[in-house]
Amino acid sequence: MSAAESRIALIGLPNCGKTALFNRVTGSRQKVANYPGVTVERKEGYHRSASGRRYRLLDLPGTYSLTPTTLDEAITRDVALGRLASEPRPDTIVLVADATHLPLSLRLALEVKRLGLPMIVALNMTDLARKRGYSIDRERLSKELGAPVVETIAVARGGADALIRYLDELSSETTTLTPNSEWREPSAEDVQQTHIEATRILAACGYREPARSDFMTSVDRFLLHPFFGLLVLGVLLFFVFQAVFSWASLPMDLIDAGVAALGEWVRGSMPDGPLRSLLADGIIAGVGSVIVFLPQIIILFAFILALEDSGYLPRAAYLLDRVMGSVGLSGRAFIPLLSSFACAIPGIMATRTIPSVRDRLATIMVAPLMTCSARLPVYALLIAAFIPDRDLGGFNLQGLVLFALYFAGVAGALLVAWTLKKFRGGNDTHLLMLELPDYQWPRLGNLAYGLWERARLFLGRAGGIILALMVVLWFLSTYPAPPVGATGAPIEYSFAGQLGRALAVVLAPIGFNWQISVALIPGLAAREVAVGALGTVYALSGDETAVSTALSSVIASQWSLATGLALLAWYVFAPQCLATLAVVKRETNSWRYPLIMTVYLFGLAYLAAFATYRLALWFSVG
Amino acid sequence: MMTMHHDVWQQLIVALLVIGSSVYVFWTVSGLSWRLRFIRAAHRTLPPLRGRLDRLRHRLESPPGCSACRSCSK
Amino acid sequence: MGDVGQTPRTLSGLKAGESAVVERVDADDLLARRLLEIGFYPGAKVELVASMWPADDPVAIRVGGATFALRRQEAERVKIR
Repeated sequence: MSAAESRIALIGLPNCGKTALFNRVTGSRQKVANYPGVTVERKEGYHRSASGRRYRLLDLPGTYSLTPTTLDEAITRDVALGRLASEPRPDTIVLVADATHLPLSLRLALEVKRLGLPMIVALNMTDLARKRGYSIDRERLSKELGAPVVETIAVARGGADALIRYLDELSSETTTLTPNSEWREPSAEDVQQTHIEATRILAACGYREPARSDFMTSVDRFLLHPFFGLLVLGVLLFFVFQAVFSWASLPMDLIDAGVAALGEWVRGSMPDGPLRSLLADGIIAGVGSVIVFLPQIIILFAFILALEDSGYLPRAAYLLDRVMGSVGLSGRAFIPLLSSFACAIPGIMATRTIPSVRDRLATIMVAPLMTCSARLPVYALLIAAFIPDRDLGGFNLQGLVLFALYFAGVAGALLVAWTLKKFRGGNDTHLLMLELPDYQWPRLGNLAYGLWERARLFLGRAGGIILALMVVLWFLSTYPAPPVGATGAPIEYSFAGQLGRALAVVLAPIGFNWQISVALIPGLAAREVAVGALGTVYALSGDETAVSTALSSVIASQWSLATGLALLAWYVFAPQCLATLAVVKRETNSWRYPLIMTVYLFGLAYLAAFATYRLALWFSVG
Repeated sequence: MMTMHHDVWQQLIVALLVIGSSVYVFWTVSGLSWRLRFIRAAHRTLPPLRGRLDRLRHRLESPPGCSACRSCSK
Repeated sequence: MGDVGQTPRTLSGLKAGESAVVERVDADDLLARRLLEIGFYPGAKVELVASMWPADDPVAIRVGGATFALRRQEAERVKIR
C-alpha cells in the first residue's frame, strides 16, 4: 500500500445521506462489487484531493449500531473491526451524522469511537436542519467527542470540501492510533450508557433540535390512518396506472410512426436480399416494437422515484404490514418486493436486509411475481390490441386492466407466500422495526437522473441483448428457405416455425398459436423480447401491407380475445427470465430454490392461462 | 450479375451479424463456469488470441473488487 | 413500580396522539438491544402517531426526533409510564 493512499470507511445510520456524500466525494470514480463469499454490495470509490493525496472510500451499509441484525450490518461491523480477510482495516472512519436527526447518530459515533480508529464526524444535511432551527456548538462537540466535526451538504456542489480538507490534515499528521483489539459487543446496559452520554454531550453543546412542524405530524396521522391511509394508497396506485396509459399514448404513437417510416425507407432504398430482410423484418420490426414502450416505463418510474424520494414508501410498508404478516412475510419484505416492480433482480438482492433466513427465502420466492418493468411492454401490447380504449365510469378501461394485472401479481405472491407458510409450519416472529423518515419534496435533479438511468438501461438492453436476440431469431425464422412450390409463408418452414409448431402442441390447450410459442423462447433471456419476437414473426409471415401497420392491430385481427387474455394471464406468472433464476441461485447458493421457483411459476402460469382461456371461450360462446 | 454481387455481400454481412449475435447471446445468458469453458475452448482453437483470452479469464476468475487487478501491469 | 399488582403498560397500549415516557426494555437479547439503539431507552419521550386496525398492529411511534413502525410483539417489549 503506497503511503500516499489512505482507506476511508463511511459509517452512518440508514437514510443519513451517506451514499449521497459518497457520490459527492468520489464522483463517477466508483466500483460496485460484492464482498467475497457473501452477497453484500461493496461500493468503493476514489478521490484525489488538491494536495495530490489519494483516498479509497468504502461506503459501508447503513446501521444503527455495531451489533448486527442483518447480513449488511454484519459487514459494516466486520470491516470496521478488520475481521474480513479480503478487506484491510480502514485508516480513518468518517461517521456520517444526519443533522436533522442527531441523537441516534451521536450514539453510534460513541460506539464507533471505541474501536480506536481515527474518526471524523460529518454533520450532513446541515442546510435542511438549519432551516428548521437547529444549532449546535461544533467546537464543543468536537472536544467532547475527541474527533474533528465538519459540516457537509451532500446534495450541494462543493458540499464535501470541508470534509476533504480535514482528511488531508488528518492523514498528514503522523499520529498513529492503535486500534482497540479488545472490542466486545455492547450489552443492553452499554447501549443505555451511550444514550445517556450522547444526551449529556448534546446538552453541553447547546444543541437545539430541529423543529418538526406539527403539520408533518398531522400529515402522518392522516396518511398512516387505518382507513384513510389505505384509501390514499389505493387511489395513488390507481392513478399511477391510469397515467401510464393516458399520458404515454402521444409519444408512443410518434415512436411507432418513426419506426414504421424507418422500416419503409430501408425496404425502399435497399435491393432485395437477406440483409434487407434482416434490417427491416428482424432489427427494425423487432427492436422497434420494444422501444415503443419507453414512454410508459419513464412515466411509471417517474412516479416510483418521486414516491421513493418523498419518504412515502416505508409508510406504504407500514400500511400493508398486516397483510404481509398474515401470509408469513416480514414487514421488511415490502421494500424488496417493491423494487421487484422495476426488476426482480435488484429486488432479490435487496432481501439481504431481512434478518431471518426463512423470511428472506419466502420473499425471494415470491419476488418474481411482482410485475417487473420488462413485462410492461407485453401487457401494454396485449391491452392495446384487445381491450377497447373507452371510459368506464370515468376511468380508462385499459388503465383499469393494467391495474388489475399488477394486482393479480401481488395477489398471486400473497397466495404463494401463504402456501409456503403452511408448508413450513411453525410460528415465526417477524420483525418490522422500520424507520419512517421525514417527508421531503422529491429533488428534481435526482428524479431526472434516476429517469435518465432507467431510460439508458432500457435502451441499452434494446441495443444489446434484445438486438442480438432479434438477429438470431430472424435467422431461425428465415432459414431453411421454403421448398420450391411451397404455398404457406416462408417462416412456416423455418427452424423457428417448426419449433413453434412442436411447442404449440403443449401450448394449444391454453390457446397459444405457434407464433406465440416461438416468441416465448427468446423471451426467456429478456421478457420484453417476446414483444419484439412477435413483431419479427409477423413481419416475416405477413405481406408487405401488414408489416407497416402496428403490431397491436395485426394481433388484434389474428388472435381471438381468449388467446390474448390467456397470454396476459400467462405473463402474470411465467418465469420468463433466466437472469432472475441465476440471481436466485447465487443468492441462495443452491440449485434447489431456482428449480422450485421455475416449476411452480410454470405450473401457475399454465393453470392461469388455461383457466382464462377456457372461461373466455365459454363466455364468448355462451 | 450485379444483383448476384449484391447478394453475396449481403449474405456475408448477414452471416457475420448472425454469428456475432449468437456468441453475444450465449455469453450474456451463460454463467461463470460456462464462460470459462468457452474461453478454454477458444484458447485451444484460436492461438493468436491467447493473450487476450488469458486476461479475460484472469478478470473473470479474480474476486470482484480485488484491487490487485487495478494496479497490476497490464 | 408504583401500582402494585398492575402489569406495566407497553407502547402498544397507547392511543393515537398520546405521549409517554419509556420505563425500560426487558431482557438483553438482540431485539431489546435494537429497540434501545433506535432510541427507546429509559427516560425517552415517545408519542404514538398512528396504529393500524385491528389490535394496534403495527404502530407508528415518534421517539427522539424519528418515527418508527413497530409490530405488536416489538411494541410490547417497551414498557412505559
